Amino acid sequence: MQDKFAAVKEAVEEEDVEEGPKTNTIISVLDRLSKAKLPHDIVEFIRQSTTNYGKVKLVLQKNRFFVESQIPHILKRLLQDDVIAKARIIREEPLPVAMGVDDEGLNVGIAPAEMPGPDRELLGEDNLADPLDKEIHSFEVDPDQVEHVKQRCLPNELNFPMLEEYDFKNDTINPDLDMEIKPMTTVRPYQEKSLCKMFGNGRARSGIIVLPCGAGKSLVGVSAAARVKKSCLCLATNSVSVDQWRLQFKLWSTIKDEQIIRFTSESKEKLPSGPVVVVTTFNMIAFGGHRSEDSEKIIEEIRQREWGLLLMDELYEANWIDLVRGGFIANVQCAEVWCPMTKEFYAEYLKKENTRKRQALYVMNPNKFRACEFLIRYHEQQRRDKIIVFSDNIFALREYAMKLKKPFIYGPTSHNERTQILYAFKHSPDVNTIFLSKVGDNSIDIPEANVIIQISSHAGSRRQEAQRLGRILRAKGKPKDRMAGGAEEFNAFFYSLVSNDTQEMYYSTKRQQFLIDQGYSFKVITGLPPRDAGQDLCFGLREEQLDMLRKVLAAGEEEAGLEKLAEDEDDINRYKTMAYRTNKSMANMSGADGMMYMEYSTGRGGPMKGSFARGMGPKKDPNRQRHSLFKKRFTAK
Amino acid sequence: MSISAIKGVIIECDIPMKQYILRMNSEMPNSQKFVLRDLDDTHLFVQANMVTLIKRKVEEFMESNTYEKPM
Repeated sequence: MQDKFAAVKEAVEEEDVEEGPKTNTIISVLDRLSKAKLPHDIVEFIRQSTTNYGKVKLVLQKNRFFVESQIPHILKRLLQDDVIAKARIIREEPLPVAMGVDDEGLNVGIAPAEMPGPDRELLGEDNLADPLDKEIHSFEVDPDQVEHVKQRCLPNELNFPMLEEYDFKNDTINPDLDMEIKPMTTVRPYQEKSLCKMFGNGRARSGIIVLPCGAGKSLVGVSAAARVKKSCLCLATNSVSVDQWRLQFKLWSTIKDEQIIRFTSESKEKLPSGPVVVVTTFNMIAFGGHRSEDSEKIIEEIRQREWGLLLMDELYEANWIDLVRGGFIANVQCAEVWCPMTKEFYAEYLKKENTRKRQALYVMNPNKFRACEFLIRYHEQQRRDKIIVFSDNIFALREYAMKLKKPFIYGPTSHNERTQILYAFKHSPDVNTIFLSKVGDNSIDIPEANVIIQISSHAGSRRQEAQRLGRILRAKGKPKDRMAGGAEEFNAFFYSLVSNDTQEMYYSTKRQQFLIDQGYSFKVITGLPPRDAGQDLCFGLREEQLDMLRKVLAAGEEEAGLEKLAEDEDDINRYKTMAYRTNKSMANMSGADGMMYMEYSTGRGGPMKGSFARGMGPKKDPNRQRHSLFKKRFTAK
Repeated sequence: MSISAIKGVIIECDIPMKQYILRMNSEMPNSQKFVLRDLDDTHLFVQANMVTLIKRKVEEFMESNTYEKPM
């Protein structure tokens, strides 16, 4: 039910940025997306709410607001309303664009020409705009009253909902930002389509662009900023994606270093006086509590400025089947490989004293190891694929990689080594598999691969799955081969290895739901490796398995646990579904080895209920992430 | 010479589940231990009156793996 709703919402959002009311288009798109026939009253509802939609526009020109329409009597009707009539401003001086004044005192001008989008397969031909110039009528309103005017025009009031447009080309008041898209950048047709909807008539419209991960939302955002060429405020979900947006801006456009600044809890760069791109997080902007002096200053500056563009990045988990069909992102086969636990590993797994080592035990399950080894071998040798293996458990990461003689990257890996490994993976025909810990989820310098194997995933979180999937969602091969029934129906593979009868099954159910929601083809594979292929794989002998078991049990609890990265902090507030586990010795927990154990809530009245109890690792300064106001309180014994 | 006969039930299950049942048995107080003979990887000989309890516990355990969020 919820998915259905999301699809409808998406369709409507897409229509929102359309020029004018396209009632029939909305209905036909909904009809196509909907599983059941559209009920009559919904069709009626759409008709009612859209007939007046887009007839009136609110246009921002040179810091002045105009209410605009092609139909003068609608404006007259609006002006009969007290609130709107009061908000109206009549000036003697010449108007920015208008050509004259009609008998009613309304400004008259020529409407900006509409450019047809490049690609209309979803909407059909009826959508093409009339190329003839149209007369446009407008009156000015008081900037302070704009919100009231907008309110009066809503469906439950006068019912002429306004489209908002910003005439950035004629804006000579706010200084231009000197940035262009680099010449070698190619914009894909669907990205161009998104941009066309935003800039259809040479003005910027407010709208929501829905594209899945890996489809290149950031390029659309950067292109939009380069088109508007005014100061831009870019809001991202966390500090990691702030860094990514900054890199994307530098990658795609000619923006200068000093014109793009970050504003996060870690880096508060000073705003230059000229036009600027500021990248920050929703939290930083929306935070209602006390701020440090630095950030208060920056926030004040952000409030003071006129912004030409506001980019808001949200990890949309949109339905991307249409993009797959167009051949822009890979067609992925998702599979869950079920691996039974071996007798000895399971016996240890069940023991109460090993509760903290459960994860290490189910990840190191020899049957899982063999399945992983088999898959790597199959994809390397038979299909010449590039493979990334993900593990959140660093103990397993090291053991797997070393046993299979593959390079691996995790938190402590030096920058130098990282670069070398990634370079080799990208360019050398001999390095086709790399092992990555959670660091791989967030950094953007990870090259493309077309096979992903997860040997452990930390919480079945949708975000993590989506990010990992994003790594293989790049187009490969010829479009015709990718179609159903083509030579290569699937060209990317996403395997999750799960140990049966363990807690991992919990994550597995969540993952399945996510992938099915997304419309992926999904299957469960059992019996890997096949009997006839198993002889030369590792851990064929019981003795070997027992050696590994001893190693797992001997490993320190710290070592056998999850990797924790500093950037996880940002997400606690936002993702209810994520669980964190820290494994510590008793001494560590009780503070006996010199560290403090703390319990605190990061909830700030957010969506979290209850609090997370977290012991901080010995290598971290517990106050590093703490607000300066609270530091004293927590360090005082 | 005396022969003692014990009434019991043979349970057949997969390898991991047998391990779970053994663990259950070892956590019972001595008076309530129910495994009479460990036959092989997939077979156990247990006291007949405990079969319902074993079945219920195994089901609960499987459910918890699938539906309970690990701590």
